[in-house]
Amino acid sequence: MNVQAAVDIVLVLVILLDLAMLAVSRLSTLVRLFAIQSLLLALLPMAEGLLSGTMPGMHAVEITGGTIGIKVVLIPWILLRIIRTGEIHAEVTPFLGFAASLFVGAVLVAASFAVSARLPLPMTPLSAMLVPASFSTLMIGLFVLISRLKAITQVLGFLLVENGIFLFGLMLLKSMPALVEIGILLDVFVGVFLMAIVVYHIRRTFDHMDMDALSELEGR
Amino acid sequence: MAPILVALPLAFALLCLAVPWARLRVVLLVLGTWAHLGAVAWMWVGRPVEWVQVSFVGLDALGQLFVTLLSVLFAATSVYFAGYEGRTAVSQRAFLACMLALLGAMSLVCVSRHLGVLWVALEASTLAAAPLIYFHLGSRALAATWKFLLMNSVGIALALLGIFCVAVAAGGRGEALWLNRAIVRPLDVDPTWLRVGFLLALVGFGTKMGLAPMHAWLPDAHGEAPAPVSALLSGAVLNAALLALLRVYHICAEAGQGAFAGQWLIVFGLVSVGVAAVFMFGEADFKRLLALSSVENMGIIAVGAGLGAVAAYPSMLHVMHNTLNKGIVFFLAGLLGHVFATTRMAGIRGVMARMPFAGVLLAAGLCALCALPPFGTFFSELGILMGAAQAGRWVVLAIFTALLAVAFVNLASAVVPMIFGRPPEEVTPAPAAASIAGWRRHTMLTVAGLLVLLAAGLGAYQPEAVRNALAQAAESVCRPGDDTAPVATFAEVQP
Repeated sequence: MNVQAAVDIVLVLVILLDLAMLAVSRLSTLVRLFAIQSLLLALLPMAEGLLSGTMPGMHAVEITGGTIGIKVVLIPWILLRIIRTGEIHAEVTPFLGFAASLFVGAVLVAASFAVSARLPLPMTPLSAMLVPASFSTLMIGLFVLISRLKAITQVLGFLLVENGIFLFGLMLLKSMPALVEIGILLDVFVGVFLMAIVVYHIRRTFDHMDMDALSELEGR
Repeated sequence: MAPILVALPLAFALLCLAVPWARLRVVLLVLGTWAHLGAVAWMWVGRPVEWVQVSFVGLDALGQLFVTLLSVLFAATSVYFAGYEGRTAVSQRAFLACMLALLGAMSLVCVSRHLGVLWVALEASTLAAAPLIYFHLGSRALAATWKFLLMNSVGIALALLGIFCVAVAAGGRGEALWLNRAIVRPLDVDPTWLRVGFLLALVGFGTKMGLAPMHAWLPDAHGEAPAPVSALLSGAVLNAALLALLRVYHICAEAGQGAFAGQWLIVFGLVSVGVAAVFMFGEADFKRLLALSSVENMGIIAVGAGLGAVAAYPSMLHVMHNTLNKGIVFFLAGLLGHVFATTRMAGIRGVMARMPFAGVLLAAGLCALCALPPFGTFFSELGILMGAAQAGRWVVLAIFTALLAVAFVNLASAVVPMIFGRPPEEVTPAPAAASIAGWRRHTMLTVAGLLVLLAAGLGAYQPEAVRNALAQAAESVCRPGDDTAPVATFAEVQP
């Protein structure tokens, strides 16, 4: 199969996974969907090398390896552990119903395509789908952040935003020093690790992960 | 030279983790921050500005100014903390290590020569600061920590997208992200993507800097964190985000988009001053009030930077004095919190009658926050106003003056009763003051007093070296195409 077509299929799958994450109710499924999406993203740096007919460079291998290690294995493992320790509350409580969320998600994807069409790139990306897919993932991540109340779904929203930015960053694969890329991945990992610790403490303090209870600060 | 500034605090952080005695760890904190200050001082005396071409780290005038302010504030805070620290709820070992790691991360922000490295360091500083806010434990501190961590991480993530957009605007050439090579000809850059990049950076770094309307995390975090940490958040962490924003602003200015970027800086700055000024009215908690004052001051700096070359020097002056002032007032807030056993302003009355020295210092701090002479904030705000007039931005000038007046009235009417009001006889008479050991109180007061002296001194008389450093830093902020006035004109106003 042609590499370009494969890249396009991967990007379509990434967008579909974004939408799927809006429709799923079990937290553990949500984390697994995120892991699958990260795995798809991790493969893209390799495709860049294949497209130009050369073997993927050391840089691409590092990024693929780092992404698989951190976003596909470590982060989902941490999140699944946190969810498993509080099995009773393992359902998403959306602010907006699932159908309505999906609708908003579809609108956001359409808007991302419209915006990217308006912004001509000064360079040729991996695929014409790259920028729309990146914006869709970013917007849906922000939407998850504001529409879901549980702390752990907010962490997933943050991770979706990160994935969207990762996609956008693929355009700069050649010009970003590897040190910076690894630093970004490490920051994300430590950030999620800290967030998981805070979620654990929130659970112990409030007996549930609902961010509504935290609004007690507001009335002060 | 520059890598030492990063490595030194990190080495002391590791030492802190390894040492088993709590007392010794506090000593290590003080030693670490003072060693850092020593290195910074040596850098001032030795070679003023060092440009390392290929390396990821190196110092320019702007970085040097910010790292110096950072180092002075940390050195003062570490000594203050030795007096402040009483019953520690969280693990003291982790707390002190995080504090030193925060110093290391923010030094890296100041000395990084690549926007990507700068981003990594800034996010690392968020991560190091988050555990510090959870000092008092409990649900409120937890909620504040969560809000801080999530809002800042997401905000900074958007800023990363902004940095990527800047690189895309330069056609994907990585040189655009190297700060010393960022001087690109306007023709080489796609203006649309550069604008998108700047706006994303403004929103992203603005979240961490506390610009309204992205400042929601700030009063909570400052209200819940212990006083020394609030001082660091206000005086150092916000500055680091400001520095990151100024770097991106500088790239925009070089590429001919300075007017556009400046316009948005002014808008966000005015909104921040306005929101802070209005919300100060009716705020019951002293530390949350001071947090709003931080939002106001960041807004003032954003307006000054946005005006371009005419107000670049006073904005840098404001950065310097704001850092010192935040140290003073938060140190006093911590002391009063110990003595009166509350941080609610209704419970803190008659400081002047009860502790005359602290009362005088608090009055001085209030004057500094309200920009009354001889404090430097008076000169810096005056300079920004003069810059706005010089640039013919009369609408900005009018709105800015009105908002500053509202902030002044709200701040003064909240703090003056604390200084001169009647002491709350019925609540807790004398024993409260005795509840903390004398040497602790003296340490806290001495540090705050020394900072007042430094702030007032620098306001009344500016040594040549400081003035040059500020002017050089201002040069790397200002917009080259807009040289209606030489940068240093304002410097002559001040004695």
